[in-house]
Amino acid sequence: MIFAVFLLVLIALIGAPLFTVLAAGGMLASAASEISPDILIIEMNRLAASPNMISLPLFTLAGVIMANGGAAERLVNFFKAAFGWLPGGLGIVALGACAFFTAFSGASGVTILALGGLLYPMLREEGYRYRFTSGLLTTSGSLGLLFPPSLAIIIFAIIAGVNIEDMFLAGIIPGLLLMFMLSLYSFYDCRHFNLPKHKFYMHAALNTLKGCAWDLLMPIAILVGIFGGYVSVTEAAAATATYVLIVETVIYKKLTLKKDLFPILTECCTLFGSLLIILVIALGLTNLLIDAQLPMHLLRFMQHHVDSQLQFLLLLNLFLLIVGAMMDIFSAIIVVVPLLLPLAVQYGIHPAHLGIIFLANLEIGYSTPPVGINLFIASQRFNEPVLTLFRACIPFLFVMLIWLLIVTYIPELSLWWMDE
Amino acid sequence: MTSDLTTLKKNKQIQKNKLIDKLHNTLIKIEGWAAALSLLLMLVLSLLQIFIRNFFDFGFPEFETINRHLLVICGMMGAVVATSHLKHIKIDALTVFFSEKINSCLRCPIALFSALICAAMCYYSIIFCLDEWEFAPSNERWTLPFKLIYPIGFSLLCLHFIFLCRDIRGRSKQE
Repeated sequence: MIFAVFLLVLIALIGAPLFTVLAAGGMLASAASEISPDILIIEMNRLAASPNMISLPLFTLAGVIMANGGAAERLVNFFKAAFGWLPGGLGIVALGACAFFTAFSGASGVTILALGGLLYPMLREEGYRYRFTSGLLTTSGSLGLLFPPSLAIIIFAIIAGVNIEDMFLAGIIPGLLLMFMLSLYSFYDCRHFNLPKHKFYMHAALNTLKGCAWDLLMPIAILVGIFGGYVSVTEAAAATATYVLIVETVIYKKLTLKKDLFPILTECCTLFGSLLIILVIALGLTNLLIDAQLPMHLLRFMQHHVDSQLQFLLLLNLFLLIVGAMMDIFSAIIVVVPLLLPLAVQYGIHPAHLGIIFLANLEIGYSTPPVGINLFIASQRFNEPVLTLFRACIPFLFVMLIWLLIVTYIPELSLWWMDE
Repeated sequence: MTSDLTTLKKNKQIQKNKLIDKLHNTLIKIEGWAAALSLLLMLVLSLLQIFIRNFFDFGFPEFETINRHLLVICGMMGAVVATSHLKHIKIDALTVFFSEKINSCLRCPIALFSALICAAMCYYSIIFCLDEWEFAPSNERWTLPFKLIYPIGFSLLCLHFIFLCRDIRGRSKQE
């Protein structure tokens, strides 16, 4: 059995599709438990019936439409007019635009592809140094991961059985804190760049605001809709996808239904399908592992060696940083969360706080080798070697590590919405 | 004479390959359409549900059921399309350390392994469908055809991995 598991890990590491490795693991686990492997299909069917699952493809669709339309350009224009006058302002513009975009596109690398090409020449022409520019844009590719309606948050909520609305609330302050810290760093570092000074023009800011008002209204509408109790998460997803489609085809006319709708739908299905199949198979496998009491064994082991919550959190961060560097975010959530959740609860960590710690670690993992997806996409986009980009990311990653410690050890930042 | 026979055989092989490629491309197109249409229908039904609930104060529970099945169709077909475009999620942490030669040698066995696993999953999906058919309550029987997406999806995935293996072998022969 140990040999088979080792072999499967090896097969995964040499590039087999993750769902086939997980399915093989599931068959192996069911054979070990003397259960028929069709339990995996039963679990798939059960997960597909989970009420919030429908929101996943619909929010993905909204992100894909935005990426294919002109939202990136409109947002950058607005952020530039509103914040470009600040010292290091264009860096802050990049942070804001990327965070906004990632929250919708689900940190699948779309942000770097859609905004990188726009922001990179803009920052370089302005006089921002190469290392700062590429480091900033590479790390910004996963910046909005904690803001609603991020796919990562929705998947964590589904897997951990946490209320999606609670998770949305839990992510807001840690997400804003990271934006603030990176903006401070951008402001501090840019003092040496001898950048031209820009004036703030109210009419330019208002004009660009008018230009992207429909885009900016969207997250507000989602938050008001969900937290005001007007729509469920699934309904909000359907409304958002329709809204974005209308904005891009009828209002801004950047897309046409006849030419663009089918490729967009297919692209969305491809993104969602590659995710869903892992999600459903992994859940079957982890349920088998739970049936085999693996989390209980882990817990017993941890209780022997780890005395306090502080120690547990430190180990958790170390473990998740490694996971983030080795696995892509969605597979990590699906495979690791069911095993970690009972341990975290035993050490008195709220599931929503665990979710934020988890996603914060994986957000850092996006820009660390060997599997940091941001590094690979940025390497393709900016034609730079992965290691050069990683070196450029180091100062930003350092800021993110400090942020991670703050978010981990001050749970109130994630749990402010809870009643005493 | 021998060279004529060889040329004839080669031509036949080329025609056969062309036919298989054509079938493969048609299949990819159909899968793309199936995925896209199920997503579009899911969006339309969700919107209809919101509209009917808010303006007429009632709803169709069947829409919810259909949407859940459309979700699976959209997901499975999306996974098939992702596989046909080699866009499936993988870890491949070790491949960055290997040379291109080693990586290209590994691709065919990996595709075969994946095809084998998908074939096994297809088999278990058929068992699942048969069980559902036998034990489903009469009011849920109308949803049973939707469940066929599991064996169909896994068999298509298996087929695409076999196609992939064939492409890899064809390319290595050409080289």
